[in-house]
Amino acid sequence: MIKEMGKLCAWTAAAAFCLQMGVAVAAEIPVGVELPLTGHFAKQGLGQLRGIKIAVQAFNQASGGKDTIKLITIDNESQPAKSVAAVEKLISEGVVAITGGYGSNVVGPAAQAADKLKIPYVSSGAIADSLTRQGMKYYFQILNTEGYSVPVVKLIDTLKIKSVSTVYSTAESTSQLAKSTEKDLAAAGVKVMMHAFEPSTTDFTPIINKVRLQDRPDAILMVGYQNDEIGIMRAAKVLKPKIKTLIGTYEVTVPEMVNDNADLAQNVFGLSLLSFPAEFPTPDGKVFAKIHEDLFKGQDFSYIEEYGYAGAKVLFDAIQRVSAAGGKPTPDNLRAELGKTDVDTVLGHIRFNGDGLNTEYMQHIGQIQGKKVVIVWPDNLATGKMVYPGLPW
Amino acid sequence: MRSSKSSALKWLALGVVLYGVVPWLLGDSYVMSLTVAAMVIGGIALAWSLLSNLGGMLSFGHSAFFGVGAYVSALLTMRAGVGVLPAMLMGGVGAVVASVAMLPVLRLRGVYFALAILAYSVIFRVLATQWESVTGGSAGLASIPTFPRVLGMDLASRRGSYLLILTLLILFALVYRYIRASHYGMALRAMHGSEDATRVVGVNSILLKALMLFTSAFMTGVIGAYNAHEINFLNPDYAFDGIWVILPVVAAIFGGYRTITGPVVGAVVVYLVDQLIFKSLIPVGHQLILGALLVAMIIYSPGGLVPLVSKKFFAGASSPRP
Amino acid sequence: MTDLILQSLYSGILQGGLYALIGLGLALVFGTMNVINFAHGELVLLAAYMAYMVEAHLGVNPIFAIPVALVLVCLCSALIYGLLSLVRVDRELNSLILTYGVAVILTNAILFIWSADPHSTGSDWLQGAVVFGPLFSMRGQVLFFIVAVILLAGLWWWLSRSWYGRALRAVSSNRAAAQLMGINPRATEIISFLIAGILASFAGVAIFSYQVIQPASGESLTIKAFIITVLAGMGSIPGVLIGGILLGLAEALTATLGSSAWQELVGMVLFLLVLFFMPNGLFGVKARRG
Repeated sequence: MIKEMGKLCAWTAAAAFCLQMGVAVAAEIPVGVELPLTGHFAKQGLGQLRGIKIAVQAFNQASGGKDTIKLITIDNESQPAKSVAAVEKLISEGVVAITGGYGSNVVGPAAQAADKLKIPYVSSGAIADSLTRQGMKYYFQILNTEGYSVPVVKLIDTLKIKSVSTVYSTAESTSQLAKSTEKDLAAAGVKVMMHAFEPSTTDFTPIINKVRLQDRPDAILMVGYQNDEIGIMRAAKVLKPKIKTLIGTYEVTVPEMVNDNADLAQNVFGLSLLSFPAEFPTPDGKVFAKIHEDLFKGQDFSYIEEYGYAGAKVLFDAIQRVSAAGGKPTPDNLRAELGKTDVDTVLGHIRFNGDGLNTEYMQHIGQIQGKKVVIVWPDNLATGKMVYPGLPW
Repeated sequence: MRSSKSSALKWLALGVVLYGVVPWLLGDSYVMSLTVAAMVIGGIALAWSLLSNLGGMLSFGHSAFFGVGAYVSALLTMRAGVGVLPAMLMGGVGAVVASVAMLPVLRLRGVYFALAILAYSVIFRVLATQWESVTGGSAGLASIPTFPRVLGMDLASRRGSYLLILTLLILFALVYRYIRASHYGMALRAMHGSEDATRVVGVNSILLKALMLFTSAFMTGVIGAYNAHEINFLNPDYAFDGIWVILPVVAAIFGGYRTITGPVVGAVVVYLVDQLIFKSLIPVGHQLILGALLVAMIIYSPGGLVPLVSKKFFAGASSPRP
Repeated sequence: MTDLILQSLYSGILQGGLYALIGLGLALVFGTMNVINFAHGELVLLAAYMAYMVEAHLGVNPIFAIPVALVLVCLCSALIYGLLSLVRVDRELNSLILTYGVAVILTNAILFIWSADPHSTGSDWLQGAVVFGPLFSMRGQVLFFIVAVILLAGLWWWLSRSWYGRALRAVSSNRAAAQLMGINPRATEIISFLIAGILASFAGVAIFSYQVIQPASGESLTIKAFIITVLAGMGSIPGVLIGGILLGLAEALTATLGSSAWQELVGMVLFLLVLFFMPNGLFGVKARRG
């Protein structure tokens, strides 16, 4: 009994030892990427990875062969424990910095692990501001919570909507967004009625019926993920509450919605960075679009790719500045350079405050009109006019 | 009958390997992280097997105990300033309290009990999500305190946390062994033969089953608490995730759930092989192989791998006791 | 307020019909072989993905996927039966673990083939509103409720009138005696698995036609099916319909009167209450104590 246990242990240990020796790192600049490539957030992780690869191409082209970025990617399977393990593995393979990460609760532990080992981590898929207030010196975050709630509040203000029924999923980021918009709207004198639902809910008829008969709002605000919003829109289309418009949040004003469910989502507003068909008015946007065409010909653009791209670009710019000053990129000089980031990207302007948070990040509002997604807010980036009142029926 | 001296020597050698060689070999590496994670699974698998072997109850909801233990321990250290190690024990106690709520289902047979436990796990998850003021809701708890220094050893380091869970597992295995060899164990085994007969003889089967439930819950709760302080993060979906059910069951069946060490060995092997090999073969859906493994084991060697290996190579060395 | 409650009851009943359809396959196999097919939810999900494929690639109404789903799902169902019959030792326990393993295989196979993206129908016809006074529903909901009732009624009639039906009941009641009477238990067992497959196919297409599917849905479908099996009690088909409707009503009323956030919990609590107070289910006869 002991014998065979001992043998098994010995073999496993030996195998593990051999496997962990790993591959020798080439002479390029190694950058780590930890993302959910499988599991719950696989779609987002894969999108971010495409964006990061675009940034790598942009950097390698611009440096003309002097420096090249070598990406080392590890799948965290959308799980916090695995993202910590991924960070540790990347650091053991000698990366100078890490980027990526999706989902605030998966990124949190990973960021702490990187910070403990003093390696810069630039996250491009975490939204919660609270991550930057945990005293981490090596953590930088591209996105923030306000960037999502402010556009919604501004839209409601612009349309002079006086009462809103918020239907929101109890998942972390959706419930946080719902509650922060409730606070801001209430402060502006808008009446807000809140309806929570479990992420596993598929039949929204009871909730929408309650909204129709009891709340009677000017607008319904949907704070959920794509399948929730589809369910809510379906129920609304059947029940036809007397509202003036439907406002969605995540993943509504995207190409798939236009392609698969245009009838369901006509005139629905949503958070959006990209119009569809996509247009890129900014210089960085043009760089992004061109390389996207080269690498991922024929594939639709998605905002999640922009996230990954922007996070990586900011990091690579810092690497480039260190190189230009004649040094080799180390975790500490990279951290210093990242702190000095002040650049326009396809995602808007990026500048980190003292906590490492990009306070300039702001989503836009899009609306599905016909077979297109039109950006309707802010005015200086709009590609079309708002349609209000407007409903899918 | 083997001489007790050579047997003691073998245990000593094993102890040296586990406490000395392995941490030296793996250090603070990625594989060490994986091994620690595998041992967490192993702990749950051990507790699960105890409940099924000695208690005769199959459970598909051990994640309930895992999650409750994790939350109780995390909250005690964060809100009440309790030390991490005592809090972990309290986490185990919390899981036991949770299992008291399950006593009414104890008299149900097989499948009903298994799924009733699963129902409890869902209920706890929803409660953890809704009881925001205490549990932090769906956002969960971050920056959970980590292990302290004990006897000069930093238990928060990879090596340290390995030694901590190793010690926990060994303690649990010894407790399991003790119960099995005691007259409680005999009574429990007799019970599987015929519950009516044992009742006639005067054995209080419900009480014994309850005690086994409490023991299994306690162990799983402590493991859940350990994990919370290891990862320093907790949220309802993670705490009560189905993964804390699937992996221990596969590990226990694979390793041989009728033995004491089988589940732990099974967990280490299955987890490491899954993470290091299967994941690179089938990045999306590699757990498919685990499912196939489970099916194959049930059909060809329901006793698990450890008895299979011991039968083939070490004839007579160990026999899984029922 | 009455309108609200009425709609809630209506939605709950429609949803209950679907739940009954999902639960019946599981209940049938459980009744015949004393085995819980943990992979049942996955079979339903597989049928749903077939519906998705038919709609996405052939551009037709997903209802036309039913024949395709029937073939695939019944094949899988028969395969599962084949695997189960290889279990020799500790039948009840090991069968449960085996089907659990099959469920893991199927969930991951679905994940591998179709990725984690959620899908739902784009068919306008199925999503069109059907209104009866103050009661609103989608065409797909009403259609599949009617289908569910027909299938349940049909099965009930068949089980009580046909020879095979009576053989099935005999085997579930006393296998050895049935064998003595000349009934081949294996034949009846495989038939019950095939019928479960048929029911699962319809349920899967139904789910795709008015809900959203993703690989993770399989497990929760199995759990719901089991809850309904328990609610119904052993050997009662009308019980399955009532059980399904009870679950549907509990969920709808919780969403309407309380908050949708508690929906899943209510289902579980209902399940546990029935286990405590009426272990034989609402209509069952067999003892459940172990």
